[in-house]
Amino acid sequence: MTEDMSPLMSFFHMGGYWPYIWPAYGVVAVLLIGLLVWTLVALKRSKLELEALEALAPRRRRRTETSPAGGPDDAQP
Amino acid sequence: MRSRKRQRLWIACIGLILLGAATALALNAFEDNLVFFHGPSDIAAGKVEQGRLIRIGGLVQENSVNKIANTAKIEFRITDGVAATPVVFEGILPDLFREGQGVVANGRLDANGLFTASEILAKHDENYMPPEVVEALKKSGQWKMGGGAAPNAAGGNS
Amino acid sequence: MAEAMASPNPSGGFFHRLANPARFQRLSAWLMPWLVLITLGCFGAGLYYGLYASPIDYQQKDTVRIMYVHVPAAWLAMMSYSTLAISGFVALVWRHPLADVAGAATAPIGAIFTFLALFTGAIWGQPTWGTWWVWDARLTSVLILFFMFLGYIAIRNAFDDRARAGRAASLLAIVGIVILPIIKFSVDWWNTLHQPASVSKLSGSSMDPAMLRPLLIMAVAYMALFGVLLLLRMRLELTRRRVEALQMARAGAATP
Repeated sequence: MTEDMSPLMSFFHMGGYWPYIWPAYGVVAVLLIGLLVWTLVALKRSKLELEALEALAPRRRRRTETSPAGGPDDAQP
Repeated sequence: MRSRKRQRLWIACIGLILLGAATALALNAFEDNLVFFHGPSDIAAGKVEQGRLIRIGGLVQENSVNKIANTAKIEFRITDGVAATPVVFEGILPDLFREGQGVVANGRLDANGLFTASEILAKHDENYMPPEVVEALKKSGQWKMGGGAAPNAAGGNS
Repeated sequence: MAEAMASPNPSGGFFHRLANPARFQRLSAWLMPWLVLITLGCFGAGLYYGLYASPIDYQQKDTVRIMYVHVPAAWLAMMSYSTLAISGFVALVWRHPLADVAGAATAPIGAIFTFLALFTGAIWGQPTWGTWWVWDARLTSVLILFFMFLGYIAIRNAFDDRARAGRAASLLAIVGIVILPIIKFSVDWWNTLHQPASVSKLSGSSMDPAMLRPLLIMAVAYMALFGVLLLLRMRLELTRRRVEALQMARAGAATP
């Protein structure tokens, strides 16, 4: 079965285990790339939102309102 | 303010130690339920109940695999190097099933000590090697795996 | 990466320097191109060796190639959980805001890697063991790890008060650290269908160098990708929190 296959065909054939190997690699590729794209899109969107809000806000307020990164904790009590 | 941080650090560390101790005790108590399969030695020692659905694991004994005439059944023995259990099975064997290979069988033990399996799973060992390397090792007589009692494949280290 | 930021260094000065989001942004901007380069290079080389330029296994034949995506996913799942637990510890004990951000950013990444380990493991199990899934100690403990990532995400979304949500989630992450030794040693402590470790053995690796190479290259690729994703998600989390703070301020200004 494997003798009369072209090198490309036998690469995709994977010794008969192609129904296992390719889906495994495929799921990894889809989910990892999906996570990356989802993150990038969300980052872009929230940056635009932030820019819009900063344009609206009066200049003097930015320093005091935007500084806490983690909420009103006692980081510097 | 520094003392409050120190206090939180102490609480967290003591909490973690207690948590670790509690987990260790719990795992120790449930030891028997966490074991996926029993070995032939457990059966020989009478630790395994008859008629209940259980799993036994070990190596397929060399030269023990037989097709039973006029049926689709096969028989073989599972060994852990100390004791061996005879097994009969009818069904699809995994690709890795062969003599000297680790297997886990799911089934019931009868009063005569015969294990009737309804499912056979292959247990892979942790060695990964190209076939040429295995051939070379066998030729030079350094091949240790696959035959006899490889303790890891038998899983007898509980 | 995350460990560097979240390492429990007792000197408060170090923390407070890193707690500054502007400093974090600078550090992450410097790291990002290197991480992207390593990710692309190692995935390229890893896929070439893993799928093509490596031998088949003497028993498993070609299915051994699934190992090159499965094992690094499992390693990264555990690394993600370590990051989550260390972040939680630092966030709870030192109330370090950036640690809280790191924890929130890690959870979805860890969940994805754990899912990939489970899913590719099932695909690998069918041709080698003869089953997709068994309830042995290794597989079950990794499934619990997956639920812990989901639980962490759920707790973060369950509270309206972000600080309280962060504390509850951090506590869960710390308590859950016991799962890591259980996963690691499950194959040694109990009989499992899953085979014991091949690479991290005291007696040296029981894997042929020709197979170890693609595995380690893929592991580096996964780790670099983890770094890229973590930095991006931390930026996302920081931006979202700033947006929230600005919106609150505007709401407060509108109704004095």
